[in-house]
Amino acid sequence: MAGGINAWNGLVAEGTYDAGLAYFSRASGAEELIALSWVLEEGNRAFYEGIAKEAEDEEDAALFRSLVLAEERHKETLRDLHVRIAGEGTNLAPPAGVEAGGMMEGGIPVGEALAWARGKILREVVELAAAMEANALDRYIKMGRSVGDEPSREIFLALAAEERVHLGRMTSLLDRLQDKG
Amino acid sequence: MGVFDYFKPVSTWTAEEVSAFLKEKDADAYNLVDVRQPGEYEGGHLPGARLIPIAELGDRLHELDRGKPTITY
Repeated sequence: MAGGINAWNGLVAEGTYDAGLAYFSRASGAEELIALSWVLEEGNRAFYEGIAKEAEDEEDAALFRSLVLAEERHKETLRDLHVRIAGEGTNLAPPAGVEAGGMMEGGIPVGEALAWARGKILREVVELAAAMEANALDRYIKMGRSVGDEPSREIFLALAAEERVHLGRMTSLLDRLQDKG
Repeated sequence: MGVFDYFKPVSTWTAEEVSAFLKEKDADAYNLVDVRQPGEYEGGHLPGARLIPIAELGDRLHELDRGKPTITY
């Protein structure tokens, strides 16, 4: 790529190669891997929902509600994958000690992220959301690479494709917000 | 790697061309390799990029799928 990373105008993921995967090291198998992914998606959803509730501008609130729906779809995709692997009637339960909705992408506690977001302008919140989506894309691609079985690989790559679409929307939104100043 | 590999043409893409390619393809349709140092990778990398510092590239080529296009930066 001409110019290397300095020429790259898109969003980047941060952290060491396996930083996002370290959180998943506690998973004992594919089922817990999926459950931990679900926990992070739920954390992201809770964050977006909190922002939408507190937004004073209706347009901003609508934007974050659309992100809530996107995270709901991801959770459904993960639930379907879990059923495929573990069978019907099984619970998608995170490993012991992991609280659903307490932590979002990048290991950030949802409460802390919401506290940080209060008083911030929309562009700053969207920048954080975009960074989260970039790291989620990074993680799903790497998880797709690391799982052994073909169906799981396909699911993680499908999730990565969805994250890439989210990221494209975020990038466009950030461009518009930066143009507005 | 044989002697003829040194004569294979390598094209250079702009960042915009790379971006368009990545948007269009599934993540398993290419090799995306960050050849910088780990600290630089940690500070920011293209999502999904493998980290293979350039000094290690020769020994780690087996990690890449030769049947797929490879993008390095």
